[in-house]
Amino acid sequence: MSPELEGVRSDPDYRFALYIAGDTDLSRRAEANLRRIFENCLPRQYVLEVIDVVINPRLAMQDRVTITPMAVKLHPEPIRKVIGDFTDRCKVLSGLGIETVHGQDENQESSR
Amino acid sequence: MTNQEFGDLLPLEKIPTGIEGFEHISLGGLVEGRTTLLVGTSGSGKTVFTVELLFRAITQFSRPGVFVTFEERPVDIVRNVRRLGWNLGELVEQGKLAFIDGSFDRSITAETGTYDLSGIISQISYAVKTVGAKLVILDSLGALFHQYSDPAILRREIFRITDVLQSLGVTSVMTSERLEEFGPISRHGIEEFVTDCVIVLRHVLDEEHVRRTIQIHKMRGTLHHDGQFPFLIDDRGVSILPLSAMELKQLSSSERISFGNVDLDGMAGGGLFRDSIILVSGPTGGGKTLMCATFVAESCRKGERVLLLGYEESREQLLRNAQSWGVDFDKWEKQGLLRMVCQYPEAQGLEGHLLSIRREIESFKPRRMVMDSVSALERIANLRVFREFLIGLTSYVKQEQVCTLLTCTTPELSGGESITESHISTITDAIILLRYVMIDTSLRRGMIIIKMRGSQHAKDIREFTIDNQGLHVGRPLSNIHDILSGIPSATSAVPSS
Repeated sequence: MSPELEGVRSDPDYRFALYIAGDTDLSRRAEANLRRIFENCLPRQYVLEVIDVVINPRLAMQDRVTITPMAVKLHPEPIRKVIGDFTDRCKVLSGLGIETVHGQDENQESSR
Repeated sequence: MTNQEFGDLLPLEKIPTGIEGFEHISLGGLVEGRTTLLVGTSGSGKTVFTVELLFRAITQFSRPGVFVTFEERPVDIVRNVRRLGWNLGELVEQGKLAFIDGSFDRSITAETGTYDLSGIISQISYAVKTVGAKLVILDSLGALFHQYSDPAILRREIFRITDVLQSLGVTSVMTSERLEEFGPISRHGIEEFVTDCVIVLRHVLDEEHVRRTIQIHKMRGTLHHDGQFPFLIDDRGVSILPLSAMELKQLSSSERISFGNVDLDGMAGGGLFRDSIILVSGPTGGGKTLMCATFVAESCRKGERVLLLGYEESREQLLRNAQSWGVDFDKWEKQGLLRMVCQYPEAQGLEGHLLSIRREIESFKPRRMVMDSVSALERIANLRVFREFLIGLTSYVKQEQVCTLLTCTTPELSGGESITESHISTITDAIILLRYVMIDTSLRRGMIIIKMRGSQHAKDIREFTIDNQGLHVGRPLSNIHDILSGIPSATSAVPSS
């Protein structure tokens, strides 16, 4: 999987990985929800790498992925992880340790 | 690797585990290609049991394995079993073992929405294919329920894992916690999903010793032994003592060997059978220890190894006693014909004693064995456990064809029945009672053989004497009553009580 750059910055403030398992409804929903949250709160400040553990189980082993979907904040440290399909924006942000100035309220991310 | 589909009607096969005693109680081992659930309270030995399963599968049966740990970290597991001489790190390097670390990940800070265990399932499938695994361990499922908050998801996913394992064609063992020793099978209702085989490990305190037991609660589609079997965890790992599951074989040897005393051989119809178990019962000072010394001496004179287990007297006392009858234990021990092991009954539980005895027999390979006295072991356990111990002991010495002399100290000077006697009489081949007998005003010694399986024997009560040459059997004593249970006395004498 190659990193999918969002915007043009070469040294983004945030680096994330999203582990999913196969091309399923759950995987697609999780990725869409996560991207929506990041786009909204961290526009042009992040990269997100999506890793499919079915295609790349060796990475799942190396990175100790028990649960999918799982979002990991790789940079800046400390590493923080949140599991689920990211339906609760506040939980995702606080779980990943992201303090955002764009803290304006938005509707809950879609859960279906 | 075959995919066991619905229409595949081959009967379930079992694969051996190499764990001492397990094949015996399970009648062959783990059910191949299925998931076995191993449950037990905290500290009941689940992890050691599963690590041993894996270690032996790899080293004894060339079956690679995968260990999925949800509780301890792999490094801790590897380190913990080093004291048992198991080098798991080496097996990982050789590509025969893979660890999957599903232990608590403190960097996971939140759950939001729905999720599943696809991560671990992908890892398991990958690891099984990479090492060519035949056995997969998951220890323990309960830890998953502590790490993740949605039990409904976890139950569904555990069910999915068992499906995946079965489709991979591997045999697997999952562990789970119980809160109480005799409560529900497992804490999170996992057994509803893993329904093929359930094994329960227990540990309870019995007479100040921890008593561990293993029970095969269910083994679908195959036979197994019911009941709880004691097991121990020591420096060789898990040893299950199959006790009552052991077959009590009948005498198979017609070869006679000597007591070491011509008169006794004569009373017994020509000596003892090679694979017999003889119980000598009598009060303190009644001549039991002398009979033991005579038996030991005979063995050594014939150049046959003999194992002497002392539970009442120290080594020095045993040496001194024998010396007083002109028997030199020390010399024979130096020649390697005699091995003396003295231990306080309280030194360990009965399962521990039994295992020690088995290990002694395994390594020393004696033709004869003496236990003086087996009744000293009565006090360290309850009756049921004691009886199991006796059955386990006697069936083992029979299997190994060790002619065994057991002594039993009667509680009263005059005789009477002891616990040991009443529990052991059915499993011994010969019983000899040594008793004090009151005749007129003097205390004399009498003996009677009350049982001699497979042979004629003298039925009368013989007087005997002890001097520094040993034991001498004399004339029959007549008119003696109550030698079996009461206080023996002669009719010519004034009743003593």
